[in-house]
Amino acid sequence: MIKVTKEVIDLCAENLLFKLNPGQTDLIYEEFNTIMAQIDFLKGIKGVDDAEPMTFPYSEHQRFLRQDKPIKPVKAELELSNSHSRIGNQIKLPKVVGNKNDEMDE
Amino acid sequence: MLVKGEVSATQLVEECIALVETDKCNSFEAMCFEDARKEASKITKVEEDEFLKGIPYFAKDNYSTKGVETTASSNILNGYVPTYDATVVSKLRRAGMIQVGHTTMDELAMGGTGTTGHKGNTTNPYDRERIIGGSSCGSAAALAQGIAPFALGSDTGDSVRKPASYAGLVGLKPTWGRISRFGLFPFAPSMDTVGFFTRNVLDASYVLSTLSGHDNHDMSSSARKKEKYQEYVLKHKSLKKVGYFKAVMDGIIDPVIKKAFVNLLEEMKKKGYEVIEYDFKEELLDALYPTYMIISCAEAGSNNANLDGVRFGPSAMNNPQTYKEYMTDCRTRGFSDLIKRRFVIGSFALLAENQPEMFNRAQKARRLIVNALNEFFDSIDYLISPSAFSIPKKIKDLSTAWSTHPDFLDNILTIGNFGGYPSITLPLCFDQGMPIGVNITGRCFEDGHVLACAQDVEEITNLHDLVTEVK
Amino acid sequence: MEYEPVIGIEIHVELKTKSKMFSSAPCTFGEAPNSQTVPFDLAMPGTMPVVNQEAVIYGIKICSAMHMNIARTLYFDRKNYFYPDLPKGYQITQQFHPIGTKGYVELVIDGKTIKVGVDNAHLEEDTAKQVHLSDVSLLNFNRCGTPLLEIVSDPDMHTGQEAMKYVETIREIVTYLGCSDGKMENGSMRCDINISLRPKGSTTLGTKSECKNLNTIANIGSAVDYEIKRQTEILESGGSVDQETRRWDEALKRTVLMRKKTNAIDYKYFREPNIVPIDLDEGFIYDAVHSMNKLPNQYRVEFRQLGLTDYQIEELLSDREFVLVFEDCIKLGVKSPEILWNFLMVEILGYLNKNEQTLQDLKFSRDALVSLVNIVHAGKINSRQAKEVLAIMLEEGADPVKIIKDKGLEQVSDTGAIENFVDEVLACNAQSIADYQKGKDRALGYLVGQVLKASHGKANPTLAKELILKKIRPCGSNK
Repeated sequence: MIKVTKEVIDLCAENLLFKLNPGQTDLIYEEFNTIMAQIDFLKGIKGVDDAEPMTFPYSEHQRFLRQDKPIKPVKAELELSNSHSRIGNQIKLPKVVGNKNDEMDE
Repeated sequence: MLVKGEVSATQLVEECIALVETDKCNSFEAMCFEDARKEASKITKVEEDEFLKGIPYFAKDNYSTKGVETTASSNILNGYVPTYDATVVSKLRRAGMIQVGHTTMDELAMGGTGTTGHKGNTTNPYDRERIIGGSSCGSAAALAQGIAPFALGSDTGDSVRKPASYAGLVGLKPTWGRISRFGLFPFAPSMDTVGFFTRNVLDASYVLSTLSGHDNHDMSSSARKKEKYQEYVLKHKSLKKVGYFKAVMDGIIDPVIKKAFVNLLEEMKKKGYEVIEYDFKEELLDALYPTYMIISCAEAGSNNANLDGVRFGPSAMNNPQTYKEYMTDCRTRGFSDLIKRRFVIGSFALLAENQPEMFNRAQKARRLIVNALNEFFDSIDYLISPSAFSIPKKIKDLSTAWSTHPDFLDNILTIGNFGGYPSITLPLCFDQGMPIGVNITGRCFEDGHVLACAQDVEEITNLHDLVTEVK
Repeated sequence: MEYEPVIGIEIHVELKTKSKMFSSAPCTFGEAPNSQTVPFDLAMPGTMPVVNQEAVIYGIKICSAMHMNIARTLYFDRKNYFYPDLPKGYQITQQFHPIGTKGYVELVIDGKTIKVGVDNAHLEEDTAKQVHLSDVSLLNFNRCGTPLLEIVSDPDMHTGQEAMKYVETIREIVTYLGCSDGKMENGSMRCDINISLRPKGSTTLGTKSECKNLNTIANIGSAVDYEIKRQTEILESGGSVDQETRRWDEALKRTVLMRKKTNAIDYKYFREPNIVPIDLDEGFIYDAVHSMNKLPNQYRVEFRQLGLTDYQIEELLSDREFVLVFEDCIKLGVKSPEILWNFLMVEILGYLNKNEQTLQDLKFSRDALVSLVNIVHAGKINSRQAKEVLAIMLEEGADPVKIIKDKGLEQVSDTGAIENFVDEVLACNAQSIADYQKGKDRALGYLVGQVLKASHGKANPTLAKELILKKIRPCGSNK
């Protein structure tokens, strides 16, 4: 486990691309005291660590796959109608410096 | 009346629109009066079996509706006008129901008080100093005021069933996968369920028959055959073994609620139900809150990562120089403090190093809880419990902090989401003038039986079609 | 100290489906910006992923060609990070349960076959395209959501040549299966190469560098060779290799540093809750596997049995369309694969290239081609005449038999007719006859030539030779 510190909290926020208002880091830090105690409580439940993590509410699987039939796409003007940052039919952002590979593994 | 032509769809819609203006509880987001009038004018004849045709309704503000601003009551989506309809919105339209507008909610559906949306507090029509509960607050408040007979909500923890309880309504959360979620803004998809409010059980069954079924746009929608759920209600096709948790019964302190609940069980026995006290592990009940919070916050942070102001939503200000600055500005201004706190916690729980201890452990606890519930349902048909254990809090007494000593009674309804079970709340009694609900939860895909049982309960309490005049 | 290079390769293959991985928007190339999307591709709130069946089938085929275990249940996971080209803020991929696991491909290098392990292959979705202008970047979501299969090799390769051959082999597999264009130059196949060095004999892996931006097979060889040299120099001078991502710079002919791998991003992987596990039934997998096109290695065996040389085989395999025509012609009863190869890979290919056409533009049927090959093979026309006929077929598409007849090209194989020419020639070439009888073999060729000349090229040379020999057989050699 990564130790919860105020720096870690701020880093989490930064990675989620928002800034916390003054006082919020402290509040989260305090909340973590509660959360960690609750995590310890979960840890103490008999058999919990032998259980299979559950994502779906029940075990029924799906067999459905979509047929590879393209549908008519939405017109660009409509599709981008909610964007306030456009040039023509493209979305514009401040210049993305370098390329993605500078930061991401694909 | 519609069938007989005694009233027209247009009259109903006009009446609804007029009532919207009288709303005293801050129930509404964007409205679509003109579209509603146009739709209503097209309805001339209603057949006997067109149960929903011509009836006005509201959608919670997290149902994508083409041409109607849909914001999930969050500033980050202000001005967002979807270009497509949620599957349930299309299905209701096809059934002839008329959407009049959207209702307020807790921001991004993350909350249970109805006080965290961008439009401020939505209050309880029975006492406007008190909460109505959330996150589907506006839908509940609109129905309790008698503005419409039906409204869509969504239920991830108890977001339909808790406000239904506080508003004297029927609130149904069907089996996970029974209704397509396509077009429902996600909070925690592994628990999110399309749910809705009506003022009696039979209405709920008609709506479920209309909305259920597989959808090619939602891979989690079940391929199981849809049913005519009203048949269960009309023919009283209920199963007969109903169980309650001993710890829950022991935990009821409020004497009015206790008396009403015990009475109800006695009356159910008279109707032929076998009532069973069940010893459910209290440890697992105490696990409900942290398990729910960790899973839902983790999923929520990921689901809402698309809200960055680039393709929709208000754009950045402050002259951003990089894409990060752009998105950071949008997200910083768009989310409230509470939402950010929850995202940070959820994100921390998902970090590779923490995941086994936090997110995965919560998922494992969920498994244990559901295994124990399935064991319960091996021998018992329904779980019954009050939906609330005290009258709703006053708004001034609220706190949004992570609960330090969560009371499992407050979280008992999350059971329905962990296991995907069909779960319905309907009025149980009044306590100090405030309605309190009772909840019935059944096995997955036994939605019909759950409705039938609810109908029996409704006949016992005789509390249905409740509307209050707001003082 | 002697070092052993260790190379592992990750390849992203764009699958050639008609619609996207998780949405029904069309997969196209070169359409107007943002004209090929549906709300899911822009991550509009409430939209949900729906898995494309064809992408799954392609995945199964490719995995099967790489001898992998095919998952019986499909699971998907989320890889969370923020980037402008990733509208959802996460990519849906298969981090924990890939569709294919533990297989291998066989590379033939200098006649020797080596096996390279493939650790896993997983389905995922491509990102949007960014265009960087002087002061802003533009986003185009047409490509966003195109199905990808990422193929991850084991660190089993040791030279630039092996790396090249591996990528080439994967490219052959995906293109032969019809699952991808496999074009590195336009990004429908993208490679990342991990290279590390370790002391010879050691079994632990050294620190690796990752190399990107490799858009031709040749670049892969160059980049690997360069990295081996660079890392060797560092190690030999007592330094240590840093874990970093590098980029092949085509102009400089070397790899350049992009970034050091510190503070790697935590992708917060978790199971995609919107896609319930999908059971693939045996019949579905069986159908996918049994509708696979023939793979290059199968063709290699078959063509060798037909007597083609390795050179001819590789030339032919470089374009599957030609392989299919070749195969059809064999099935239609071509008598000489060799002559067929020559027509296809020299005359026809040359003609198509010159006229910027493809095999689809050919004006004649495979039957006509077979018929021409067999006429040549039977000796009815010679190869020079055959080229003449083929040229007409390419231009006009007529039937070869008709062309031969119309042009009067058919060789005279009537013994009586040829005998007349032979007699004529022998009568006025006494000296040559004498020369031949004295043992000068060249004289025979001269006489045959004279017969052909007299017949205006129509006499069947083999027959003419036989007849001449019958008449002028040297004394004493009559057996």
